[in-house]
Amino acid sequence: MILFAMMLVFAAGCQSESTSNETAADFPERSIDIIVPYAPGGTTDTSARALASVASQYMPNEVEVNVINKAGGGGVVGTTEASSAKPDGYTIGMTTSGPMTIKPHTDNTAYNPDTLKPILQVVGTPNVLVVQADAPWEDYDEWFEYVSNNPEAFSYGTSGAGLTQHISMEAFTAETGAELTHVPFEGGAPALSALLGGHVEGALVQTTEALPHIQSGELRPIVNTGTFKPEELADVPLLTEKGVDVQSDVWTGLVAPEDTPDEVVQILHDVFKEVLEDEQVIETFENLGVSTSYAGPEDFYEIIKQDYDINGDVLKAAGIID
Amino acid sequence: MLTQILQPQILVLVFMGVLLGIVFSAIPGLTATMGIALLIPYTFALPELAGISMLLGIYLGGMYGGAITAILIRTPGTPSAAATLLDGYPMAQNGEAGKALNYATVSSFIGGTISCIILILIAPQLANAALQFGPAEFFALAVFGLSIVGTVSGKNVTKGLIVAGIGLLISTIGMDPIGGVMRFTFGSSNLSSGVSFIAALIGLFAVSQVIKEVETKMKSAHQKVKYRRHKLAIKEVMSNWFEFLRSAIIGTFVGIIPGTGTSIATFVSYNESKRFKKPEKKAQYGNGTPEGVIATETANNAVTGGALIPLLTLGIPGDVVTAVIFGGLLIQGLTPGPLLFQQEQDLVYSLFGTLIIANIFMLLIGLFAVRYVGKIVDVPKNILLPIVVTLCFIGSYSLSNNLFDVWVALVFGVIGYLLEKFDFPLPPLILGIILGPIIEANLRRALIGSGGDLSVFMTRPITATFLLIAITTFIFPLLKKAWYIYKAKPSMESDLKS
Repeated sequence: MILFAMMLVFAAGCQSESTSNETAADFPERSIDIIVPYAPGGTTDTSARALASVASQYMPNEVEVNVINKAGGGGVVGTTEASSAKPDGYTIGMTTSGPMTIKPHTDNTAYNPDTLKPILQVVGTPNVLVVQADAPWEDYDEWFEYVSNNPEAFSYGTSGAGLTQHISMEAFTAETGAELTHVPFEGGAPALSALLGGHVEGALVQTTEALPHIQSGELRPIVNTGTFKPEELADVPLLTEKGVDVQSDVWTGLVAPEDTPDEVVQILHDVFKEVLEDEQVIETFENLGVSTSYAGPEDFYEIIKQDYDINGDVLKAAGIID
Repeated sequence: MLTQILQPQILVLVFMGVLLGIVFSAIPGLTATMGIALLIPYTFALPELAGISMLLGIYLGGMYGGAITAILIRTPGTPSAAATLLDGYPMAQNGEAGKALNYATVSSFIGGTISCIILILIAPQLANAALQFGPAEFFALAVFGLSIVGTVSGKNVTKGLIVAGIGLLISTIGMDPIGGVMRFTFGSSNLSSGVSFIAALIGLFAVSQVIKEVETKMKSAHQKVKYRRHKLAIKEVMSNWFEFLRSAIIGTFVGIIPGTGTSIATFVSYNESKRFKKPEKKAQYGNGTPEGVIATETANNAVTGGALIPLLTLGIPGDVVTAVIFGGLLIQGLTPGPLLFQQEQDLVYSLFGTLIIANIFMLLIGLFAVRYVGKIVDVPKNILLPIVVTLCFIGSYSLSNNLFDVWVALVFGVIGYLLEKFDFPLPPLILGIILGPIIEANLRRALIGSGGDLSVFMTRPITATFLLIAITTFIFPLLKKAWYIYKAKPSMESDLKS
């Protein structure tokens, strides 16, 4: 048993350096590593493992796909690792909107959206503003009237300062002139429990986090700040439908180092596009409550670039960066 | 229900889970969280009950295993065992490794079982109590935790306070939890989420111990500790029934409050165990008293039942481990939360059943293993120390596959060595690092909520109570000391006159 545990450690630690010079034509010849910039067990990690578990069936030469966790720095450590890996396609990263489009502004990262090559977007999750089910606001209009007339009276929790949720709300206040009180927590779950306990008036969290509480009738959705409506929350309006030009999702996608040959990126893209349509993957994602949101290399680049630019503007306006 | 639980497949998986949890948590740097995360993909294919039972087995075993290495080689395999080494390691050095391990095993079993019974009986009622904890309450609880510094400082409280202050300062490294601004990171993204707590723990206790051992070895011939076998008598256990019960209840209740974690539970339990003892008995704490081991090990396993309460009834994972279990449940198509109890009652109660079985397996594995692992203290130091160092570094690296954490362990090893050399106690440092972020973030959250009004800490009953206990805990020993000095004074004066 101890041996088994030690093997796991070594397996996790070992990443063989390649010595031969392969050409794109016979890519891939050996196993591919996906760096996940978070600790094992989170949604990103679990999604990556779900992809990896079936990916080899679709890979040319049926090579294995491994998941390697490099946690730290809110995703920056692992994303840096992925951006500085040897650009041969054997090491890619599964990263998320935070380290890709926010951290480069706040953290002085060694990478930015232009030094990584997008392969494809995998998952997209909108955020939803929820309040307690017995709150006085039945819908967005009532809520908006309240916050417009009562500056700083409405406090909302998020999963942390300077993350997508916080930035969306800052963009909302900049757009509408409403003043809200932001209370950052360490993750979506603590923000939700503070809302359930009545310590904040609302919470902006990922739809997947809020859904169980909405379905059980404890929480009421007010507005969706993302780009699309999940099936279960089809009745909840988007901010854009309410005339407020704010929309961003929390997304996850695969990226490769900047100098990775285009043909290799294409091969990886084609494989993972098929993986996304695999039945087992679809089922796992469904259970996790995440919705696949495919975008090819060009579209994915546009999404990254757009979020990156908007986040920069909002962070400046909110005084978080100079 | 019983026939469901007693299927051979379930029993084997629970057994494997407990064993794996013990091994993972005993090895520094490998945690039960990692064990669960790595095994979740294998549970994809298992039936619901089987898959989740296995994960719960790892969780339970993971709370216990850390005690083994904490007691034997002063290397807490997990943060939950950090307080166990306060008395566990001295016991082993007094030749009582067997006794310490037996007590740890039985305590873990009793703690786990009592909390499981509480979980079964009153889970939904308690869950709502947990929600009463807002920022102000978390702040007060953490301040109460910090007031324990006096208890774990040993002889010199002033030095303990200095060290706790250093711990609080270390905890400010990284991203400011409220403003999102970087502090003391020197532009390194490795530090932007702060110093890795487990790496620091490994460094402070294990690496520093190795440096110390090497030093003594150079100076003098090493005295050898001989392992004595210890046969656990039921009478011994029964005579400590109150110790077990109190610690189990503390562990369960701290476990229920989301976001507090096992380390706090163990330190609070340790403090309460010492609080009402006679002065002679108090002096034994930290020098190897079995009650110290009982208090911490009962409490950390009692956290399991407690932490499952908000997870299963509200869908709120209180810490990293339960967050990973949350993911495991989702993958099985089960959404923890109020609906789970209504829709899947059978399954939920079967899970409770497997928890009890997992506790029994833990007891059996522990009592069986003590006979063999206890002999580690007999291993010559020149063989043991290199192994410990290797384990420390592999462990720190594997936390997030980052070489930076190995440096953290090394630097904290030197810090730990220097502090102990100059008689500064280490536990307050740990308290500072654990509690600093909770105190800071929640103080600021509470003040954001109240618009900067400090009265929020006096008007809320739970908050006020905790703060009051904290002040008493901190001031009372000082007053007592002042009283003794005051009483002693006249006689001193008369001595001078005569």
